[in-house]
Amino acid sequence: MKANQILRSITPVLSPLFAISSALLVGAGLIALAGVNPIAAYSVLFREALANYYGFGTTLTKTAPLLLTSLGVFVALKAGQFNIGGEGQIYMGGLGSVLVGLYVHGLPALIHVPLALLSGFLFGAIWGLIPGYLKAIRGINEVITTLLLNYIALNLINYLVSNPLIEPGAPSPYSPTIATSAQLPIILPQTQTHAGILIGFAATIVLWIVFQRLPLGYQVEAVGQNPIAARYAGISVERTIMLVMATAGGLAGLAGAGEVMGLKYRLFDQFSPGYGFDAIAIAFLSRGNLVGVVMTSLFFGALRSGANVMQRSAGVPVTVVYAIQGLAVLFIAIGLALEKRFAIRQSSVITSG
Amino acid sequence: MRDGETAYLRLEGITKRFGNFVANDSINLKVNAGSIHGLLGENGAGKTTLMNILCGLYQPEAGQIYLHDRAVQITSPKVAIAQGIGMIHQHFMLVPQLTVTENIILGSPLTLRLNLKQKSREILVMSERYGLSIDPLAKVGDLPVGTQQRVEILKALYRQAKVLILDEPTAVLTPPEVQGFFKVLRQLAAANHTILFISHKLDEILSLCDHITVLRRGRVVGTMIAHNSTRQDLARLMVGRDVLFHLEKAAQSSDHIVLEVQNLQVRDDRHLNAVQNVSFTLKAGEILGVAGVDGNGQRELADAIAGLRPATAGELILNGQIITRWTMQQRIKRLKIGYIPEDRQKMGLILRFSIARNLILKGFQQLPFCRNGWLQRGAIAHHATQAIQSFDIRATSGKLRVSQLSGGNQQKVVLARELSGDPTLIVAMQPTRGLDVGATEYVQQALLTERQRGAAILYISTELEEIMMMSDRIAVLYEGRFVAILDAATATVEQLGLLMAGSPAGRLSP
Repeated sequence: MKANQILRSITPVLSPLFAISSALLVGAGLIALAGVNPIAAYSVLFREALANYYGFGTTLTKTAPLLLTSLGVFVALKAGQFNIGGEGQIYMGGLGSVLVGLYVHGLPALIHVPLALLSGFLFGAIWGLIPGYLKAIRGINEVITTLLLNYIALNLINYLVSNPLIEPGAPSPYSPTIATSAQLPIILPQTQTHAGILIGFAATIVLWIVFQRLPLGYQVEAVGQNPIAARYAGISVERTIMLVMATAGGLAGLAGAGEVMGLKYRLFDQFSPGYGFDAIAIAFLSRGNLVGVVMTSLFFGALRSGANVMQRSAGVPVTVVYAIQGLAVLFIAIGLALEKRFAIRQSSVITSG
Repeated sequence: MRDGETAYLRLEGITKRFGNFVANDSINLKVNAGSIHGLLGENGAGKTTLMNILCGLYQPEAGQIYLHDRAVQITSPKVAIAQGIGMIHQHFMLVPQLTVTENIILGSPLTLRLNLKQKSREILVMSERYGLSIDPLAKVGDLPVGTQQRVEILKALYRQAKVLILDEPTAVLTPPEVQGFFKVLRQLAAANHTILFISHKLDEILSLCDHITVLRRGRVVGTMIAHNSTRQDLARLMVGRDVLFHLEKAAQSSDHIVLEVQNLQVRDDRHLNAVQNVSFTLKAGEILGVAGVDGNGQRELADAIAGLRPATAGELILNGQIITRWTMQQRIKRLKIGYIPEDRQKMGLILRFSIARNLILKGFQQLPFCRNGWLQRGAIAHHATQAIQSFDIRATSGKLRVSQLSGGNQQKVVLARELSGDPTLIVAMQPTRGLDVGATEYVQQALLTERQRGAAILYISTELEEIMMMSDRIAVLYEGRFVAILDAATATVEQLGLLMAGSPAGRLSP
């Protein structure tokens, strides 16, 4: 029993490691198939992404939206909700911040930046609250609604930046630049690394406190683990789900706001390269563990950051990186299935009669 | 067992381990052809494991099964069926959308032509032969539970089962239905079927079976002839010590009315009236038992009192305060109501939470567990340690997950939470369901202690004997109405049984 307990306590760390290393291993096979030495390719990738000042900056830049959006998926998952809508929430967050960045003037950065962030959070939160409300009150599956809302958001942004928000004379759909007072500062000189990553870390710490120390975190987990028992204990499951989904959307909204305020300074059509979907993979890989979310976000950020250089210098197509991400998810699913089998064998010991 | 009689089913040295845990320890069992053999044991004694071995779901590590003195290997449920072993599970394995005939022929070897009409005729003939009258064309979902059970039996017989294994088959039946069911089983035995009847109910086993084998902790602790044994003998064998069958309790004396329910009406999930026009009063230190067959409005009644379901009409008055329209949150914060829900795993506990975290499920926003908006880890852990001690929860620490506890200990966690803070009103719904004798005793004693303290208790159960043992007064719930409220001291099982089945005959006597 002792050995089992130790095993159980380290599985949250062990299984993402297993998944990621297996994915890298199979990815190595794919690279070899492309006719490149996998060791050489990987060393280029990770040296660029982690050991090079500029490359590490890019890693952090890419990690910021991944981290915030996957925190959103993570929070929803804690309440038993599958938030597939990170992508749409990112776009709405971007919209929220760009509106404040464009149309609010004459504020010092100290107020303008938080205001634009808040607006991004709120726009994302609304995009999370809609499926939350539909799930809690109307009983409509949130997987479907969050997924579909992605397309609504995407097309809404497309319309807005092509029509009312378009910069006059722009060659492709994008908005004018936001006021400098609404721009996030660069934190690593000479790189694009903006303060978005700090917002991500701060959000992680806040969530850690909520889930470790506050009654709200307990309430959310209770609803996620057993909504019926939570209801019998007087917890309003509906309100909890709506709150959590709004928060989830808000966190992804912050990711979108960060992209606009720290990186692009405008709202672009299709400005997210699928961060919202990567975030789902990250949240699942981290198995309800916040440290895992940070580490996996960094890993995905590093993959994205190093991929281009790997393509340029080693000739390995970028798509290999997407294959590795997909494989990691596949292996985490395999790991879960194995664990389940193990758990069933364990529980039958106790309950068999 | 006398020599010369042929054992149709014989087990020799069956052993099954799960890890270090020995679920079945060299079990020997002989069941004669045409007899009803009872398998008695507490939860966790190894009954279900043994049964799963017989129907091919588990493979034993050691031992041999003989059918008619022929060694057989039951490697899968398919093999079990081919060997003529039929299993009737506690939870029916029927498709509610299909007809009786369709359900019965489901899974039988494929033929090119279905010919449902002819199959229906066959099934009708078969059902009449065994006295299990049934309409082969009825949809299973529309049939009452007792009839569904007949379908299960017919399904086994249709597959030429010679041995029938029944797992706690009476749990879903009313007392009159149980009697009818026993008649059917005796007929089947007379037709030379061999029946293995698994139960933890002493009276049923004694009145139905020819022989009884008692299991305790995975071992056979005794095999006896039913008409030579008594409840006391069996209970002692089953539990390993003497068991009390009568609970001592002082007379209820207070006149203080804790709960008054007036013309209560509650709707179920389908928006039909599940509770109609129910009125009663409940005094301090009194237990009002609510008897009735499952699904007659018990859940809705309990939920309405706890505040989980709105009352569509009528009033709830607690200690002189009208609380009908109070939300559950308000009731938890300002009233002292303990609610033991019917399904502890689904409604009462969060299985993946630790004991400590389950204990604060209701009070996590209040002192001492939450101070100035922060959870108080020390207070939570301390509370768990205390509860483990005072409720005799068999766990090494409050950090243990509730899913790792046995059913009895899980229920103790629920009790520890719901009875803490001296509730004035306790709604206990099937609080001993699925518990073994020892744990049942514990739960009942705990509730009687609360009664002694002056709590008013609504005790809802489908087990008549339990109701009669615990209650001061007994209300019978039938189709959402209280058809009678009787004094527990004078009520009889027959009378209650009739009332539960909706017969007005029971109402004639006071």
